[in-house]
Amino acid sequence: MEQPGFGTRLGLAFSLFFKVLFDAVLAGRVRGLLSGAPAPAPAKAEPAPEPKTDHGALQLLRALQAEGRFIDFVQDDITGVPDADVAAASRVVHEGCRTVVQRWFAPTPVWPGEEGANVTVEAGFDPKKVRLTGNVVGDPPFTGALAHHGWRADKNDVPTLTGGADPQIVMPAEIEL
Amino acid sequence: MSDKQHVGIDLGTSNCVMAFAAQDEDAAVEVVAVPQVVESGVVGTRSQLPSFLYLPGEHELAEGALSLPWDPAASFGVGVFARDHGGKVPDRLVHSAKSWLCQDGVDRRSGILPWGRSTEEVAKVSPVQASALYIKHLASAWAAAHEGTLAEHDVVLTVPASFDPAARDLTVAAAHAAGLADVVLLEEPQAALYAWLDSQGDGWREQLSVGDVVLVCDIGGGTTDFSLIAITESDGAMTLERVAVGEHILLGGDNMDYALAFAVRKELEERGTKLDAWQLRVLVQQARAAKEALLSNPDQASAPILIPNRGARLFKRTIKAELLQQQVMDIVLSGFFPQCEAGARPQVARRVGLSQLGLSYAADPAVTRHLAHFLTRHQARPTAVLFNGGVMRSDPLRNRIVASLNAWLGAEIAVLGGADLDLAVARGGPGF
Repeated sequence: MEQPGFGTRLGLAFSLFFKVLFDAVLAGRVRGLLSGAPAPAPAKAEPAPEPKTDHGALQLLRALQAEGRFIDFVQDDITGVPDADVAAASRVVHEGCRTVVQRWFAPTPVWPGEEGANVTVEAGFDPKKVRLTGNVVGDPPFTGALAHHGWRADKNDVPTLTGGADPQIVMPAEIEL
Repeated sequence: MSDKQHVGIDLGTSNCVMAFAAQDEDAAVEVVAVPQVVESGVVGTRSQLPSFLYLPGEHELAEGALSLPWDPAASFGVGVFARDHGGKVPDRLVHSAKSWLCQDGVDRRSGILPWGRSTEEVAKVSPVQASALYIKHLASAWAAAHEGTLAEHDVVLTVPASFDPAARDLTVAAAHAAGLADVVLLEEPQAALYAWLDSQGDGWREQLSVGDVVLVCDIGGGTTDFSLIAITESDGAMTLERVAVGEHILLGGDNMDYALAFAVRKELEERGTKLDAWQLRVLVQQARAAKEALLSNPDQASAPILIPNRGARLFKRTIKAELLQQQVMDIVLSGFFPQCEAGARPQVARRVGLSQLGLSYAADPAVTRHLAHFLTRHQARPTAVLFNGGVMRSDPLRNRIVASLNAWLGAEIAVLGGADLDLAVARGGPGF
C-alpha cells in the first residue's frame, strides 16, 4: 500500500478531524478501521448489466478496416519502411477513416476558436467539457490559452449487425475466383 | 390539417433519394435516411440509396447477410453493399436500370439484366423489376420510420424530361409493382427548379420574373439532360412551363473518371506497372476523388493517386501515381467541355445494325457541343441557367458552360445558385 509522506499525513489528519466531526457515516468507518475490524462490504452491487450484444467497438474496427484499411495499417511492420511509403499508406488510411468518423460521429469542436487564443472560463463551467491544466489556483473566472479545442461527437450512428455477420470477423478473407 | 405528406422520390441512374414535407405551407423539406445493407450482415443508414441490385450466388453469403429490418430473409441486395460488393462480382450486378427503361430495341419488361455474358445460374431481372425493387426498398424504409405506409401519402416520382411515353409508363408500372398505386410523375428539371425556388424563400422574385426562360443543365454520374422551362403566369399565379427538352444523353461524371483513370493507367504501364481488375476499380475511385480535389482548387498542381495492395500488407506495395491539374484541364475541361461555336453539332455514332451492344452511350463526349446543338435546334435564348447533378458542383465546369452560353447568346445569362445539387430533385418533389 502507498505510504504518504509527513506533509501529506499532516494534511490528511487535519482534513480527517473535521470530516469525522461532521460526517457520522465516515466516523463509523474510521472507528472500524482503528479497531482493526474489516470495513463493511460495500452496498450491494448494481445488478450485472445485460450482456453486451451491440459489439460497438468491433463494428467500429470493421468499418475502419473496410473503408480505411486501419487494421492493415497498424498490424503491418513499419520497421525500415521508407517515409514515402508510410506517407502513401497513411493517405489511404486517413481518407477512409475520416469518412467513417464523419459518418458515425460528426465530431465538432467543444470550444470553437483559434488554438492559442486567450480565453476566459467563467464560474459554473462544466468540468466535463473543459479541462483546466497548468497553474490551477483560485476561483473562476480563469483566464488561459486554448490549448486544444476539444471534440464532441454530435452523433453516435452505429450500424446494426444482423444475424448474417460474425462480430469477431472484422474483415473476411477474400478469395478471387 | 391533414396527416398526408408530400413525398418526392428521385429514382436516379446511380442513386435514389426520398424527401418529404408535411402538407402545410412552409413545411421544411426533409430527406429520409434509408436503412440498407452496407456490408454483408451490417445495416446502416444513408441519405442516398445507390441504384444497384446484387443477385448473390447460392454459396456466397452467410444466411441473413442481406437481412433488412423489414425483410429478415431478403435474398438480394439493394444499395451500398450491392454497389460495392457487386463491383467485385460484375456478372451478378444490376446497374443503370433507369437508362434501360428508356432504351429502344430491347424488351424492357423481360429479364435482360445483368446485361451481357453471364451464366444461366444468375436469374435475370427486367429494368422494370429492378426499378420496382428500389422503390419498394424506399417504401419499406418509409414504413419502418413512420406510422402507416408510403402508399397513404402523395408520392411524386421524378423522371427525366427526355423520357418518352413508354419509359414513363414503365416507371409507373414499377411503382405499381412496388405497391404504390397512385404516383404522380414530375419531370426532373422542374423538380430541380421547385427545389431552387424552395431554397430561395421569397428572394427568387429578384432573380426570375414572368417571361424568363430557364435552362436546366443536369449532369449526373451517368447522364446529361438539358431542358428549357418558361416562367409564365396564369390567373395571377406563377407557373412553370416546360418548353423544350433534349435527348437523354448517356454521358456523365463516370465517363470523366474513366478517362482520367485510363490516362493514369497508361502512365503506370509505361513504367512497367500492370493493374488487375481490382486495382483498376480503386484507380477509378481515386481518379474521381483527385478530379474533385483538383477542380475545386485550381491552384493545386497535382493530387496523389494511391492504389493500395489488395492484401493485408499495406506499406510495401502501395502503387503511387499522381493526377496533374494540367491533365484534368486537358481531359475533363478540353475533352468534355471544349469551347465551341454556337452552331456546333455533336459527332454522331456510326450506325450499328442491331442494338445488341448494350446502352447507347453518347458518341461525342463534348457536353458543350451537345448543349450548343440543343439550343440551336430549339432556337432557344435562355435568360437564366440552373445547374443540377453532381458534376455541376465543380466551379470550373460551371464557369465553362456559363462562358459558352454568354458567348453564344451575346448576353450575360443569370446563374441560379444555392440549391444542393445531389438532393435537389427529390427535394423538389414535395415542393411541387
